[in-house]
Amino acid sequence: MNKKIKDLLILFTVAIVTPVCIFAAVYKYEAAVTIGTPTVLISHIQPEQVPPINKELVLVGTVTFSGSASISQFNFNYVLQGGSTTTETITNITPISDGVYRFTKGIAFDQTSGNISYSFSITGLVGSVPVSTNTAVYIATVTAASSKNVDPSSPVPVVLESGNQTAGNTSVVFVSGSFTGTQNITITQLDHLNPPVTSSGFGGQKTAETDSFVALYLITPEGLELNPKATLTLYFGDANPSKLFMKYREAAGKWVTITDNVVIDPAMKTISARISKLGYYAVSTLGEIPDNDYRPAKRVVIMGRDTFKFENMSDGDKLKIFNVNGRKIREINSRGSYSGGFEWDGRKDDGNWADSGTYIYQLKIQGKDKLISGTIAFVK
Amino acid sequence: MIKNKIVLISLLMIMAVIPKAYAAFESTYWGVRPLAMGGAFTAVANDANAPLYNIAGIANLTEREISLSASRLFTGLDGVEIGTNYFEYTQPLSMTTDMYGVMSFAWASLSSPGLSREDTFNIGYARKVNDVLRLDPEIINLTAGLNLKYLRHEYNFDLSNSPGLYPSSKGGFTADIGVLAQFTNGISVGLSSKYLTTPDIGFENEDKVSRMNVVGLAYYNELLPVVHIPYFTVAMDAVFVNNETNLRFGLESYLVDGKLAVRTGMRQEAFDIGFGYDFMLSEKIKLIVDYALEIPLEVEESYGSHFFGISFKF
Repeated sequence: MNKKIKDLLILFTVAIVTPVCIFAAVYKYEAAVTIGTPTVLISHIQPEQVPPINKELVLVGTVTFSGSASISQFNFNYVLQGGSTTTETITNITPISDGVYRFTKGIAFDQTSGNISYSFSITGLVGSVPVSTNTAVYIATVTAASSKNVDPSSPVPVVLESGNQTAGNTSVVFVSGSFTGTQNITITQLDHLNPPVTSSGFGGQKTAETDSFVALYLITPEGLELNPKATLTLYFGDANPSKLFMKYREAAGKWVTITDNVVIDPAMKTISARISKLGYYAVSTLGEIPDNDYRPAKRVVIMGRDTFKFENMSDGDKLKIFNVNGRKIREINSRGSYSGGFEWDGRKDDGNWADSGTYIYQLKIQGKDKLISGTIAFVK
Repeated sequence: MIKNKIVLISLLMIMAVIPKAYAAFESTYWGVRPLAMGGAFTAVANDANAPLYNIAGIANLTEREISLSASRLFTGLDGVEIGTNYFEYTQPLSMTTDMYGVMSFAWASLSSPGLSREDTFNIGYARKVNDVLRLDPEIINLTAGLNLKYLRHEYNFDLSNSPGLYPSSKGGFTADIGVLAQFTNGISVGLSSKYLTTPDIGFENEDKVSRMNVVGLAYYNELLPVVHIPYFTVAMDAVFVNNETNLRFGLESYLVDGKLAVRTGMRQEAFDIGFGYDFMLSEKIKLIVDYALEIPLEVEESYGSHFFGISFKF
């Protein structure tokens, strides 16, 4: 055989036959996986507790398949206190990488104590092989409080889970040496719509301030000084994060706005700030109200036709009315029938109508250092 | 005998005015000198500020007087802008004898720009009445006067719930009467009854300007014994209004050959201090400059009310 023809045959063999052989080998390997033992792994880190204030339990986890899969059913099974098992289909499943899916599941509940037990189960096909698996039963305690003994020399964070695993939690992170002696630190979420009555007079009084709360927490021991400051993070749920403020209730009952290193995380639904004392903290939609937002819009009032309305005034604020001689004729310290603030109808403290004329008002707003003054006219 | 008669008349007048006590149109802020004396001027009333305190006092003026004053009340309070203006002119009807009496014209205004305004226009007349009552001028100098007034107040109803529903202003006529008894021992008693006709100046409801009665007591001594304070006056007014009694107290002394006046006074709502200085512009014209500072006792965070005035006597 001609040598040249011989070399061409060898080259042909190497160029054509080798890739075919390699392809055949690979094809044979993949085919071999489909007939192996399939694996399915459901991963979920359970919440320890669920606060009953938000009444939301939003769980997240992942499902990992060892091969291509066809899921026919992904169920969530839960039991509320005193109830029977409820099964719901989880549909919120999104692929996050090859063979890995992320799921979220929220449930509504009304119970304010006890436990919620739940598990996940899945059935489907991995390739052509049917599989079925389920997790162990998780138990979450319905409680609004979380406690931890904190040693100031090696402090650990205290965390109150929000119940929403797609968002953040409420927590206090201490700096070493922030206080003296081991302290039992407790975070309790309170019902911001119905603030509790306390010995210091908090609660039982609906004010513009408390009306503005979207979340309310008590962190004890109340009044514990923190130096260096700790970082407090508060979960605020579904409130609009574009205008939120963290408030602290001082001993005298005055709510002050925290301004030290405030960070709002819309994704985590949390607001953080550095704090120097434990006690009542709230997430509020009410920041510093401009002075003009307290002043009455109608500055001339005819007796019996209308009243002067001082907006955004809260119980404990003070309204004083003076005649032009500088004599106080009326003082109002709480809301009456007007829910938007304080109202003056033109009567003096003795119940008689004031004379027609010009009057000076002075407003003492809790949390504001300076009085708000202005003039109004009462006419008969 | 005459003394007893005078005392009896005075007591009867006091008894007559005290029970009739009602509310008032604004009447506190007129004249820098009276303000500096806490408003206790009813028994003093010896200059151009007399018409709004005690019209009877102008009967003792022997020169023409023009007085102008302005004030800013409760300075330092954001959102509070209240001011007063006062103008007064007195004219003795005769420059040679006091038997014809003295006339006065006065205008007083209190306003809060853009919100409200009160104006009082006054025409007054007073004369000495010793001759009528046959009183001994060695014992007493008794004067009496009448002040006719037009009161007007206006409001910016665009700031109310009823714009355009009412006229912007309402007014009414009324009158004051006054009596001033100056005893030669330095004691003076003044009586003034204001807004006698209680005119109704209401826009929608009855709003009668209520009567105000004032009894004043003063003592003057050219050199106060023991402490040797020159040209010393101490005065007190009791104001009866709306079944309430308000007291006003004032002190005054003229230093530096009687040219520099120092004053102080107080009433329930305020403490006052002030001074005045007399300049001779020419042989016949005297210029008096006055200043008063009123510190409010109930209104907080104010830098006080400031009053400036100038007067000419000629």
